[in-house]
Amino acid sequence: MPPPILELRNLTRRFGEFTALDGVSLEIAAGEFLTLLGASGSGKTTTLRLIAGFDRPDRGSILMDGQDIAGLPPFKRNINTVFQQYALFPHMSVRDNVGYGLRMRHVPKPDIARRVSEALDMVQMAHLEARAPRQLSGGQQQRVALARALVNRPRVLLLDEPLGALDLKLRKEMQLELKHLQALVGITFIYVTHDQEEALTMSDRIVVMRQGRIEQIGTSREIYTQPRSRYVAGFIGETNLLKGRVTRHSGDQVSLDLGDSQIRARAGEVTVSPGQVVWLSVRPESLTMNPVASSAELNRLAGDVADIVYAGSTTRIHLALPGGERMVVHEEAGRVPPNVGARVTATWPVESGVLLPQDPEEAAS
Amino acid sequence: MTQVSAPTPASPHIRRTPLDYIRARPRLKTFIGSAVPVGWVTVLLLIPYVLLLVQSFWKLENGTITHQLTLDNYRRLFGTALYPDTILFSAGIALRVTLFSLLLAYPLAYLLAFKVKRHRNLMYMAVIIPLWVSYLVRAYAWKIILGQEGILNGLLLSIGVIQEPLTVLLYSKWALIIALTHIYTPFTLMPIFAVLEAIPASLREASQDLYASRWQTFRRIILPLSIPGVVAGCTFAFVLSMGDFLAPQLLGGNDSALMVSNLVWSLFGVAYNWPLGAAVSVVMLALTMVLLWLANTIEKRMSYSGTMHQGGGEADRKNIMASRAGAL
Repeated sequence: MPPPILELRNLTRRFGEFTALDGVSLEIAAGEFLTLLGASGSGKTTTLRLIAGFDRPDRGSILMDGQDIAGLPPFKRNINTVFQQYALFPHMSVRDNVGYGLRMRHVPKPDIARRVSEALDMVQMAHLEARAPRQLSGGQQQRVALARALVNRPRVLLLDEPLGALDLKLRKEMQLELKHLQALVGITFIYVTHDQEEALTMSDRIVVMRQGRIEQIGTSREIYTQPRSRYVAGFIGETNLLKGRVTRHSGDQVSLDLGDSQIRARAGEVTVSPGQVVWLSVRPESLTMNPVASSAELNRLAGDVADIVYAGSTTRIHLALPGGERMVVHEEAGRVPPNVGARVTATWPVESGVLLPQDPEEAAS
Repeated sequence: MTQVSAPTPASPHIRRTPLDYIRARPRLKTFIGSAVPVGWVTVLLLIPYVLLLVQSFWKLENGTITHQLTLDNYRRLFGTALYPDTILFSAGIALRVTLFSLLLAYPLAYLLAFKVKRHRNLMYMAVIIPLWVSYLVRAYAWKIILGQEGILNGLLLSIGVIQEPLTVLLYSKWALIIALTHIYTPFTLMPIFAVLEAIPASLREASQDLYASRWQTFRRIILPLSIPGVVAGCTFAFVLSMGDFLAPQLLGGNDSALMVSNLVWSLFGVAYNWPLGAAVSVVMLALTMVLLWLANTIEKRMSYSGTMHQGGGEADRKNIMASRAGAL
């Protein structure tokens, strides 16, 4: 990994009684697409505002190329922001909006004209350069906001839920476009969102935040396939969580007692001991119903079909387990679903279940 | 609202009150509903204005008004230096009041809108509350402050700045300007505050994010976006102080005779020249309307509130206009 362009050290920010950020440390590599993902109040926007300079941390430092910039005002940082509501200047044309940063830095006029045109070309907005922001659609305003930030060639670009106000179709298009744009300009992107699907689609790395702390850092694949906590497993993607007691632990193999059935799992990075209560996360797409061929490496659970939800490419089947828990199974299109009320067996390969420790607060209670 | 209850043949015995009769006729209902406000405006505003206009073309002969149409009043108005001079003098006073009000109101509105986080409403109320105090009381207060035996003289005497009480404080155009500035500053502040408060914080942050210093952010973002409020506030201060009547009477001394309202008052009163008084009023009214039109045009052109917060912009502007028209 190349040396970090930005390093957050033990950042803490309180608003009265509320601790928005609680000792966050993070290294961001030059040129990466990093996403801060979390529910509202998780501290992701606070982190972004501290990096931008709109707010100061109570404790901790922000190092850019080794220099602490936490005390600098935003206009002295080589960082630009794309705001959630775009924040285009309503009294300026698209062109003047995009050129604003360059004018403030006293870039020679011919250079401004050239760079603004290039930036507008890049986001395909050159034909609307004379318009006022209010004459643009949401998606167009979004592109202008992007051009206005990128034209300054910042070291780091911060994006605060920039696609939140767009409709789903446009959002999906813009996700890809943003990703391509980032690869093209090679600028470090720090992207804030609460949309886990968006995070998975776009990011090189995802930082999952919760209650002012970092819950897990990893690539999209790591976060999805190897969540390290029940929270992450539930927040990113859909999953089935089964609570069980460890009965046997040898090597990587763990046996769990769910109360009325026994299953097996891999310990992975979790250290367990017999008697301990743990969670097992099984993704709905890992589950299959009534497999024809049997294999020793499969876990099996019997349940009654409670609901069948047709969702186009998949059919979601809700099972009621004997213990009262619910499980969701994704069946691919083309397979004939069972009837509601039918008793079925759901199976999954042992290695596809992810063992998760109890949350500390849960374990304490 | 318009429940048209068609007469049902099945129940011919239902008694019809006059109210039912009206309810069944939406157009009649609309007419009756709008009759009160339309009548109000007609009787209390339109008719007096028309009478004033007609009056200004009447003739004064040997101290009696004859209903004979003439342009004499306007000829005299524009031909005698006194009248244009008075209007200009009043405008000069009003201009200074406007300037001072703006200088006081803008920084205060800025502080309230951006710097004061806690107790903002309280501070705003502190600015507005003087408006609840009778106008007369406020004007008299300045008499007490500026008078020969007044607070200001007492203070200056006690700290030894002066040996004799100053007599120039009260009964001068400066006393008038000070009092009018005090009275009309809240009117200037309100629209400016409203406009500043509506500027989203993200615009200021975006400006600073794009390398603009605090001053540049003010100069390039805040100030241009607040122009509609400034125009509205200045129009308030100018129009209201130009037409002010009591403060000149109480505080202006000899200079007060040079304010246009006082001139109109004496034309209608002592001089018993109603037609000329009416003519002066008509000219003032025309000037004011031109000014309001101008202000409205500028505000419309410089207003971007539609994009700053959805919808409210146009309505806000109309409210400002309406309250200003009411103040006349």
